[in-house]
Amino acid sequence: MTKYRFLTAVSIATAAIAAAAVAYATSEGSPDALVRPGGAQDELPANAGFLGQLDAGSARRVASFRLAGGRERAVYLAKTRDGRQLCLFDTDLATGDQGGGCNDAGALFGEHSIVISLGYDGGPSRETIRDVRIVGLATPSVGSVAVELSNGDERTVRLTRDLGFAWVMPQADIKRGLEPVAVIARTPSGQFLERQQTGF
Amino acid sequence: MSHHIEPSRRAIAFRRLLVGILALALLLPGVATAAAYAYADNWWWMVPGQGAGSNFSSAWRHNWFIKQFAGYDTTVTFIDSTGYNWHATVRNTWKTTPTMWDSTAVKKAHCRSNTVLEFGGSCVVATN
Repeated sequence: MTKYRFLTAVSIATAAIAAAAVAYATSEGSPDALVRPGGAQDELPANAGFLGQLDAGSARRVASFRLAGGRERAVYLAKTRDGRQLCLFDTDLATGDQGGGCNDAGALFGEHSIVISLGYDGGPSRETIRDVRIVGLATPSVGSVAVELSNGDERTVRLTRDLGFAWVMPQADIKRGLEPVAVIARTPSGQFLERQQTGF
Repeated sequence: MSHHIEPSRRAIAFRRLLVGILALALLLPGVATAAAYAYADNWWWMVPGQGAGSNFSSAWRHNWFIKQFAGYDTTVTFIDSTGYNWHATVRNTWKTTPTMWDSTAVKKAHCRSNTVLEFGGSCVVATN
C-alpha cells in the first residue's frame, strides 16, 4: 500500500468514526410509550386520516380527551411506515380527522423537554375560533406541564403514564378573550425546564 | 406570490426527497387512488405571514407542510369556499406539520410560515 492510499484510508475511517459518534450523540432512545406492550386501547381508528402512512402496530395512545361538545379525541404516538419519523396525532375517534406533527425518529424532542402541537377549528377571526386544544409529549425529566394564558394565569395539565398530555381551552376562557400563549414544563421538584410558545 | 430561487444542491436533494415521499404515499395500500400535488413546491420561506394555497376541490383531505428541518413555526389548514372559514387548523414547529379534514365541502389547502427565520419547505395537498 502506498503512503497516499494509506493516508486516504485513515482519513476515510476517521471521518466515518466521527460521523458515527455524532449520530450516536444526537440520537434519542425511543419514548417509553413506544417500547411498552400495546393493547386494544392503542389501536388507531380504522378511519384514521393518516393510517396509510403510519406503522399501525407501533401506535400507542398516550392521552385522551373530550372537546366541549363531547366529541372524544385521543393522542397517538406512532412511527411512519419506513420508521424514519415519529408522529404525534390528535385524532377524532369518530371521524378519523387527525392533525399533529412528525419529527425524525432519532430526534423527536431535539433539544427540548416537550413537544407540542396546537389545533383548533374556525377562524381566522378570533371570535369564530372554537375547540382550541394543545397536545404533546414530555421527556422523563418532566414532572409537570402547565398552559400559560395571555393574562398570566397558568392551567395545570395532567401528564399521563406515557408522558402524553392534552388540554382543551374552556369556552368560558375563550369568551373572556384569553389565549393560550405558551406551555411550561417543570421537573418533578417544580424547577423550571422550558417554556414553549404556542404561537396562538 | 412565489419566492422561487435558484435551487442549491441541498434544495435539489430536498426536492428529490419530497418526490420520494409523495411517490411512497401514493404507493401505500389504501391510497393508491390518491391524487396529490405540491402547491408550494420547494419554496424558500422568508417572512412571517408568507403563505400559499391550493386550488379549490371537494376531494382534498390531507394537507402537509414538509420542512427541511424541525424548529420552524408553521400552520396548515383548510379554507372552505362559502364563508372562507378555517377548518382542522394545526400549528407547530415539527419537521412535518400535517392535518386531515374528512369533509366533502369545497375547500382549498392553505399553509403559512409564522416565523422570522428562513427555511426551506413544501406544502402538499392530497385527496386521501
